[in-house]
Amino acid sequence: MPSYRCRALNHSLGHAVDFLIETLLAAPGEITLVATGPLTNIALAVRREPRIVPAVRRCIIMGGAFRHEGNMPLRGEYNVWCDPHAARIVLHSGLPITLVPLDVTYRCLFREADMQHIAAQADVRTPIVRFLADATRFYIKYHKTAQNIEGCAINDALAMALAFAPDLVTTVAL
Amino acid sequence: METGDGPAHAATCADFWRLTGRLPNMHVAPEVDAERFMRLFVTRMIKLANG
Repeated sequence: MPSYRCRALNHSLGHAVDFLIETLLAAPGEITLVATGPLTNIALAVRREPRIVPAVRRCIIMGGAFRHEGNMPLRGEYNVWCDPHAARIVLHSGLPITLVPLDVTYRCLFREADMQHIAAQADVRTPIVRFLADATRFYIKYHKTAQNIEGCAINDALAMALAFAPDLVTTVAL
Repeated sequence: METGDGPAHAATCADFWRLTGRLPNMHVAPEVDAERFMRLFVTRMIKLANG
């Protein structure tokens, strides 16, 4: 198992739900919230302190699958599948949401050729390149085996990119 | 989102044809400039790695 150095978690930050509430209320209208996992903590935060809803500038959520086959049994998408009740609470909360479903993330495939290009242009000894190579090796193999797809969908990276490049996608109100 | 335990567990449902009369409650991204995003991702990774 490869190891990567990273900054230790700062446990003094407390519980994630408290952190969300305190941080959002301290900077109303300034924070874009990007959710790249199950929505449990955000749902709890909304339920505990509804005043965070108008305080969020924008909420980008990687989740859901509309016309896509899904990545969990029976057309489910992993983040929603883990806690659909939380997803329902968040999506109906009134937060200014941009939902980034598998329908678009599966069009953004990172292929072995991309990794080779990065390795040729960058220092392959750096943690970021080693991590990218290690993480995508498994992920590409999984996509090939499970879904017969060449490359891997970099779902979360697309959601994060929309925080500073929103015009990468077109959106519709639903 | 379907919250039941049946075969549609966690399925994403949307009123694409506006048949329910409900107001929209989010923006959904159905289209992406995938080529531009991948170019952005790859160049940012190279830049990050090279400091």
